[in-house]
Amino acid sequence: MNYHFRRGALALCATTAMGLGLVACGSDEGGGGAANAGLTKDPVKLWVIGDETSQTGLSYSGIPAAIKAAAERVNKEGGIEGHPVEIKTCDLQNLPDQASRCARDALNDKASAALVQASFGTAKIPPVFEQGKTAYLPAFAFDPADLHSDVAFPMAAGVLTQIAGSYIAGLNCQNPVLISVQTPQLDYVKELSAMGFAAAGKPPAKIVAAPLGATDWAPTAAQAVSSKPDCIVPYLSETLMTAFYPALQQTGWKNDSNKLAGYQGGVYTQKILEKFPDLLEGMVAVDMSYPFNDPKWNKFNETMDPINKEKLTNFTSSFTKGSYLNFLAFVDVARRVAKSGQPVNNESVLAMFNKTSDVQTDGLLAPVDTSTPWSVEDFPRMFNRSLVFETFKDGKLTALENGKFNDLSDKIAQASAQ
Amino acid sequence: MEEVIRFALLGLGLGALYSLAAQGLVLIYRGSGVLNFAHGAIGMVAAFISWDIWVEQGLPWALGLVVGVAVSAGIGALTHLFVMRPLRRASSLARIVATLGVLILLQGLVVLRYGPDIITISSALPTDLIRLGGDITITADRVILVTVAGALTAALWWVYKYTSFGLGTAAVAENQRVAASLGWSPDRIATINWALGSGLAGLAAILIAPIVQLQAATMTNLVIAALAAALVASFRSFPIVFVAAIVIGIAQTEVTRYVATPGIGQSVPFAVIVAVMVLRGKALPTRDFFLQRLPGVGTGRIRPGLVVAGVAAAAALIAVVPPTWQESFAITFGMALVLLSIVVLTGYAGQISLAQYAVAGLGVWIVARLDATQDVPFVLACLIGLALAFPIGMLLALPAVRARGLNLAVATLGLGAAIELIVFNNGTLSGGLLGTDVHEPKILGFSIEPIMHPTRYALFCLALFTVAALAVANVRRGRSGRRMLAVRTNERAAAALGISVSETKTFAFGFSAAVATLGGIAIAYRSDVVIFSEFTNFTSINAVAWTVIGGIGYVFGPIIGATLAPSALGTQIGNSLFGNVTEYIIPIGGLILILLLMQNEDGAAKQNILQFRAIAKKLRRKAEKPAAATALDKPTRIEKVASKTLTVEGVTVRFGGVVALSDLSLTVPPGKIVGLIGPNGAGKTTAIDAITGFVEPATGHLDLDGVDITGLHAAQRARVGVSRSFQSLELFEDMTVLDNLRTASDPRDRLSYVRDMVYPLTPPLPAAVVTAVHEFQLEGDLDRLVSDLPYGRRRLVAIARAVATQPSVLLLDEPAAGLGERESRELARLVRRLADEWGIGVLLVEHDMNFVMAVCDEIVVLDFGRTIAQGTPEVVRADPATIKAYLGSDEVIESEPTRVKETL
Repeated sequence: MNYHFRRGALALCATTAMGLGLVACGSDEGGGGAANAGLTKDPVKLWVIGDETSQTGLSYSGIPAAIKAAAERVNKEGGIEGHPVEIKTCDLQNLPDQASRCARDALNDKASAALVQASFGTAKIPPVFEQGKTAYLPAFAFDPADLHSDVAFPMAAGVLTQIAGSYIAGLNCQNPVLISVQTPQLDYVKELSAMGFAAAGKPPAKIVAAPLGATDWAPTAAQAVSSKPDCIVPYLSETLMTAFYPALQQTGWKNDSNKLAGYQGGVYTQKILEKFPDLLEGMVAVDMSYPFNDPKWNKFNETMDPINKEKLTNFTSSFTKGSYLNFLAFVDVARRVAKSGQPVNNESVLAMFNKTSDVQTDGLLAPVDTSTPWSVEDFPRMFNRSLVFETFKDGKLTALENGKFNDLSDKIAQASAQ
Repeated sequence: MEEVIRFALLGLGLGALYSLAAQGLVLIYRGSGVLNFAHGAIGMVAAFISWDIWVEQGLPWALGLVVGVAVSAGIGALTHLFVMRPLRRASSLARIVATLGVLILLQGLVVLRYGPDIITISSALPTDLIRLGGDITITADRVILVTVAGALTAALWWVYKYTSFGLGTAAVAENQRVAASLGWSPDRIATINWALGSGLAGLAAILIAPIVQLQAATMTNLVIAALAAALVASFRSFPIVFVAAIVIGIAQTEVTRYVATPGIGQSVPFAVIVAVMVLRGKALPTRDFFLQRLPGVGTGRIRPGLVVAGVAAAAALIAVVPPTWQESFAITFGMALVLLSIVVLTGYAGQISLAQYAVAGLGVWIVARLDATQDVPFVLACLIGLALAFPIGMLLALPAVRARGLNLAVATLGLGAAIELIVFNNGTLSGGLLGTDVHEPKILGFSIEPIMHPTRYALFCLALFTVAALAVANVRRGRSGRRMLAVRTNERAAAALGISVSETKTFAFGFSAAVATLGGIAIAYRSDVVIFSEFTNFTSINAVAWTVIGGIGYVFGPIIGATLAPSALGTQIGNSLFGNVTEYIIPIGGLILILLLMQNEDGAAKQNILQFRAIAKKLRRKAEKPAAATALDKPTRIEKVASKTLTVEGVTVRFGGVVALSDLSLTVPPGKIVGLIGPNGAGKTTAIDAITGFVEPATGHLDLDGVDITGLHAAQRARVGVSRSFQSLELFEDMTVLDNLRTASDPRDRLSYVRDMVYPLTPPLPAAVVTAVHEFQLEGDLDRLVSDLPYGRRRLVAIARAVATQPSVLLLDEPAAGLGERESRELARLVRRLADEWGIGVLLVEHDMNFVMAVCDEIVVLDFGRTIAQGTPEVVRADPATIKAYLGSDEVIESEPTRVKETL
């Protein structure tokens, strides 16, 4: 048996290895090809560090593909003053070791900058980029490391949307309950929500934290409604919301108008809204930009449509939107560098970020001043502090106040100081 | 009160889920003796396939259910046929690890096919709210689940109690050999049970998925709660599984509701497991396998030249490769340290632990928190962490003292999960979202910060591994290593030689925790932020798999196994050759593990060592001289042992309602041989077990030279001078004859646990042992493995080993069994010499009447546990009661056997 077994095992292993080679052999570059015809200057390298594959769970996948598509569009439109944008990607695989490895690879490749998706272990990235004096733009701006690093330039309002969610609940609710998960970030979530309630002049609300790991959400939902709240504020990702909401529905709890608050409009993706229209009717949420179905996102949606159909990836998530906004900001800053006659590299891009007071993002955000850190000690790198309030009515997510950008800086700074 | 009831009802639903999962586990165990750690993963495959058919393809849910269950049943049957059946003669460790390999492979394949994201599924069952009164509600799907679980339990109970298939399963579970002789096919029974059990797993997963969502890792984690319920039921009773699962579900829900501390509620299954261990304190009922072997173990011998060359080569490589490769080296050495801890704990001491990566995380948690919160310098923090890791590891040994094998694997799986939930995922303890900010690591003022100085850091990790590997090799060669191997091979035999099994296990856990902590430090300090949640339970499972691949008994094995860890050298090489292989490395690792186990459970290290030796031999110009055999000079005189009289008074042993031994009284003076005879089942071996501390007498008293030894446990009795041999020999099969004797004669000092790490002593064998070697003519067999010896020689080794403890009283259990006439006579002469020349008092149990009559000074006759005669051989030979009960008729021994004493 041994002899035959060895032959069979060898054959199996050889086949597997060949399959590996065929399947895994692939370029990780993008933003090139026919789109670069006519762009004769040196390419501007932008690294995108995000989850593409994982054995252990992804926060959001598809960001590298989205940015590649956006880069191709930019190159078709003339690149960065004639420089093609060259996208290099590194797969985080939801592994902390990959995070620092990807950052090192980006430095070794002399990237002008990097877009970084939030994932497991990305807190290991800032020290690497600080050492290499290279700007990076985190997709969501929630992690304290991203909010303090001198080379981080997030466009997303990230943590502010979380604080503002509690702010809205504080203004409108008498007995709100926040829903979160028992993870290491729970204490941080408590601090942020307390800040939001303080900004509204209210004490912190009760928090119900579900056990970690995919689990039966019925007890959590039962616990949430046991104190008969008039508002429920989920501090959950899109995936966890799709698990929590059915359990909430099963408790019989009804959402009257304005009684469900969302901390971050980007979490309320198309998928969530289509799945729970009755529960979410009248919901008020906070977003860093316009609702995903606003015409201002048309250009983005048109760019993503072909990939969306192919990869069935959700591009309405806050991480993807945040990454796209970061990409637009990078293109704007890189153009400024190119126009000034300097070579577009990590040093010049970093320097330009540090002195630009009105970074443009195709109107999707208010102009962002990246030259001046915020005075709030906890969030100095929170440059974009303008938020949009939106509501879900008659099956549609709509910006309130005609999409006005609300700057809550002063209120939150005051609350932070307390 | 209403709230308590409401949450209890919610827990009812959860408990029903656990019950469904647990019943399948019990089925497979009852049918094949295998604890299937891949149970949840098999179910998970069914759940994904069912979802694919129902949601993605738009076909009826019932079709998805049927296909899903059929697929999981098929996977179960195939797993048994192609993985477990070839491993039926392998060690229980190998079988456990094989199921882990199946788990890893299935999970990896599902992720490749469907992705790792959580998928939310709507329930196909009705979810209407049912009001029971006030605010007490329950949804219809939970009621259906409880009903299904209960009905299934009843059906299983009926099938396995009243059908011929159920009877056949019970027969095979009791004794495969006998069942096979009666016409039952153990393989067919096992295959059917695997198919049924796995089908149940599929059914459970499909029904569970709408509640807990669908994700590759989810179902795997549910197995811990299912294991707890199955353990309560001793992997036997379906109704008890159902009740236990419901109770666990309710307890978990209530605790989560009322205890705010993260992780406590989810740790309820683990608490149940520990409670069962403590209360029951014995292993799962073991199956009657034809043969069990353990993975090979290295000698621990260090070749300084090779070590220096290897370290120099690694250091040179580290110095020249780019930073990403240097980081891979650091990860490899860090993980190799964790795997090395498994070599100590599982390879040497035989304690299966599925929590080592969590233990490593616990160790580094101490170091990092000292660093971050108390500003303790790096080196001092590491030393304190190491020092504390030892007692923490020893604490973790507490369940191990009363558990072994599968029980222990289950307990450690739960432990790892509990550590992850309670400590690592608790922001207050772990430093919150960001983890723990640590200071720049420095050694004597020299920075080894990995981002600024990746070369130095990789060299630091290499140095850590080298030092730890040398310490482990030293321990292997020393007394503590021999004790661990003895405990690993045979705890009863180890105790009979005076080795404290609990002390040895405790040391193994403590030492391995310290080694694992070194690994944790190397892994965690690669960044200035330590994220504890990366020390996951799943990686602990993978760590065992990688260690087995490398060679679980070899110090070199962890280096090979660690290359398979994500981002380690294997990944780096794979990425360089093939592009991005990291997403494939996990399922490939699972496949390699299964294939390797089936071909060679000793791992790659042993193969590499053999190949290296073959190559070295060919390269040498001169023919390799065979190593000199161990030579022992024969002592000029025999030293008598300490003279002690054993007195047994009124010893009675009961097993339940059965009295196995009633009111036994006898005396064994120094230099005398007392025979203990009787028909089969008379209580002879029970008597030896009671005297040597292996069973506890209900009444009676034992003393040795006037000192009461009734309250001493087996190892203590061996140390005060009461030694024994076993009917089934129970030698340490994978040790040499010399090591068997050394293990028996080694001093039992505790200082050796520490000294062996640095400088293991190998003192000369005591004169008594050398004499025994010459007396038993074992000089030429000293360097041979016991497993290579013929039966007669093994018998002699067993007695020589018992003699090597220098006992005052020696109890021999059927020493002549299976020997020919000539060998029996020689053995009788030897036993007589032990008494006459060494002064040992001997209690001899034998069926060979000629042997007994020829050698004994006095004989005690037992029948149905009672003493029916006692006296000299002549008196006993003529006693009517003895003749009737033992010899069976009026038959007498025709001729008087020549007394051995007269011929010496």
